[in-house]
Amino acid sequence: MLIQLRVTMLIIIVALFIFFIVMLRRQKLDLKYCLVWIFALLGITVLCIFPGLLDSLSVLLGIDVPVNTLFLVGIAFLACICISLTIVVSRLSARLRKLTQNIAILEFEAGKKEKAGGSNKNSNIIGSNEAGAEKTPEAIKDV
Amino acid sequence: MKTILLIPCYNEQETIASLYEEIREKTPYDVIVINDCSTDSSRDVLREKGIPYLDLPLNLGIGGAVQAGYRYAVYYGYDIAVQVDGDGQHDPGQIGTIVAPIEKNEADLVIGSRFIEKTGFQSSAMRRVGINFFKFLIYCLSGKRITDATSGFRAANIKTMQLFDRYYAMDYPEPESNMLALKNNLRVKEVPVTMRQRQGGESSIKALQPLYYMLKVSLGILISSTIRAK
Repeated sequence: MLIQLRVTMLIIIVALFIFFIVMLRRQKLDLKYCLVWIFALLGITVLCIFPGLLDSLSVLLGIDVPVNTLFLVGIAFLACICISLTIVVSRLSARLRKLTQNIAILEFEAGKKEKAGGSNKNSNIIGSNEAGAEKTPEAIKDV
Repeated sequence: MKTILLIPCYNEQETIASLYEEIREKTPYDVIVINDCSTDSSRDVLREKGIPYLDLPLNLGIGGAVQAGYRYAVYYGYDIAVQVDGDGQHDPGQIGTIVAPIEKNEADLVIGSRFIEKTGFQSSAMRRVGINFFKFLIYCLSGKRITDATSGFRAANIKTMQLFDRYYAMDYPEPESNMLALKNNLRVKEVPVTMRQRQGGESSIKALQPLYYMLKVSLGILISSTIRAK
């Protein structure tokens, strides 16, 4: 690997490190999702400093130009991140959907109790939550 | 039996009030409209007319809205839930027909089909091709014939409601959920109904999406055929 490439990569790595640390400190990123990036950066740093590792890996994989190994590993890593993000987004949207539906039902219930002439707004909402936890639909219906 | 009509509503300000009045004239059932974050004045109409409605704080799409209705029905201990579109396509006078097999305990899910007696609004030729493809696909995967898998005019008993409360597709949910019901050993029955042309609103299937729609729903049917509720 040429020295120019190694220096360029190191500069990018350091910049990214700083970016991640800043984002983490500002609480814009979850450490949980950030960790994988930080480990990846560490991995690339090791390869940058000891290019011999990359050469042996290339021989192992049967790749002529070592830098191609780097690209291959990088693309594979990005694909993994993308898949895991898709999973996270799907889970979030499922949760958001359930939350939205439950809010609508609880709001309906609270509104109904209020109309039925409850004395205190807050106690009504708390009451409806308790009723929901116990699943006593008949009792709610009869209010 | 306690029966409730679930009416998903997204921007149906022109039709929702008259639909509700028609329902009140023709049926004795409870009604819950699910307002899926309409951007027109549907919500004001619902409030003014005193129509019971759930107000989803975020737009979830037809699937999420109907599912909220099923959850509501399960939560309030209803025995039967009937899906009725908010755009006036479904004739409230025919609700009795699709509820009857469930009341007699002959079916767990009843689908109102336009294509059994082939009367009334028959949808466009393009759509019929799609619907026939779903019929074929469902037949291949389950051995059962469903002539109108996309029909949103359906009645469900408590077993089906509980299943739909847990598993329901976000958009274009009907064909998938029919498959899911079939594969989970629910008795699915079709009865002939007559549908009208929509009186307002827009189809949830818009102009540029047919290919996406067919692919998504077909894949959804395939996946649903492998899901077994625990």
